[in-house]
Amino acid sequence: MKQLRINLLPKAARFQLAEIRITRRVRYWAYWVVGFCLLIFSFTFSFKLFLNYRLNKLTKQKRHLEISLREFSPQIELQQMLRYRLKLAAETMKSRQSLTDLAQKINQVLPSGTTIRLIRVKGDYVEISASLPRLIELDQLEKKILAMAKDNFSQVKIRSLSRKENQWFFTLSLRGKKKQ
Amino acid sequence: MRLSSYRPILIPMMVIITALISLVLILPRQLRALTAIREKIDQLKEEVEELRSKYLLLSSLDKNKLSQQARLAVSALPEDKKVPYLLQGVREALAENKLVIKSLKLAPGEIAKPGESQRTRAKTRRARIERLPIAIEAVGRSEDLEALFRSIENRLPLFEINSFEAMISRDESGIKKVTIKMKLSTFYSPPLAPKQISQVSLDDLILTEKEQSLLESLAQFKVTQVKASAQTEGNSEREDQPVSPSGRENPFKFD
Repeated sequence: MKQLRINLLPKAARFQLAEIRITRRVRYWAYWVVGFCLLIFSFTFSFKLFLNYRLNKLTKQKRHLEISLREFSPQIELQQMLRYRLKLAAETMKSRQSLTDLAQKINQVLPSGTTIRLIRVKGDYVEISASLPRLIELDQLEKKILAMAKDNFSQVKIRSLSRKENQWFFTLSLRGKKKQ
Repeated sequence: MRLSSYRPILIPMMVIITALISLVLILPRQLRALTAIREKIDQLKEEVEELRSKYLLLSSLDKNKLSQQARLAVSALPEDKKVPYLLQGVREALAENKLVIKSLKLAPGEIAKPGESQRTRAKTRRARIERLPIAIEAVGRSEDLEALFRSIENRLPLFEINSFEAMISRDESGIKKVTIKMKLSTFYSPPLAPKQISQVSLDDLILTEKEQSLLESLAQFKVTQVKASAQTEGNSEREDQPVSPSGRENPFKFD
């Protein structure tokens, strides 16, 4: 059921009452808004003060640590130099060819009775002139080299073979695989 | 319309409007400033944390050990063409294999002036690693080439054998004679101007595993020693600095 509200006051009095009500409400809102604004501003400023305090504290800490680190400048320079040299040394060692490994491999394959007369190494090319007392040893050498060539050499050649002074003279050329 | 009838609500309305306007105008600016400060704080926190880690790391470093390691690294790759030093190295490697130098040829080229600062030199350099070729002819009786290669390659400063020729013959009395001709290269690298402390990151100060293992393998190499008397006078002043074995001795003296 709809309730009926009957205002029996005269029109002017009703208007005055409405005016008073509105004024009261506006004032009420003004207090609220001002209060809210003050609250927000005070919160913001206090937070800003707190953050600035932390910032100053951290800046001081940073400065202090920087000053302390200056004492270690010789160590820092040494460490930088050490790392730089090591980096370059690693590059150098990686790029240089190792003849020790090559000599080891050749020593492994050459039969014990081999007399080496000349070894020539230039880059990845190796030439060995040597002699063997028996031809069967040369055959063994060939087999050993071929077995080893798979992983280490791209080309293996016996360039010459001759018989002199009761010995088998041969010239073997090997070309190493290029570094990847 | 009578304005006087609105007078009671005008002042509160103006207060509300002023408060709202100032809220709209001031608050975003303040919030931006707060965000900026927070970002700055976060950045500073990270920086302080890194500085603290650096400080802890550096204070844990053994100065003597570091100095020793740096000396080893400089021995492997000198900062300049240290002619006496590398000739000593070649001579030692050959002497270990009972070989005597018959002839030696090298072109040291430009030699750094004694007073020249490291930074000036670093600026003028082009390549990071430079080579100095040496041509050697040696004679002896040992035919253990593997040992010879090992002596040369497992030595500091680092050498590379570019070409090699060994002729094994017998003299009139039937004694073996080994004649060796080889071209070697030794390496050197101009110093790098060190970064400023503020620019050095924590990673720059920590040796990687690879670098550690390289240091260990370099420590296994034979270091060429130059007699103490041959060292320059100025080196004695910098005891804790790595001293690259260099001097002003006659590079062509082979006694």
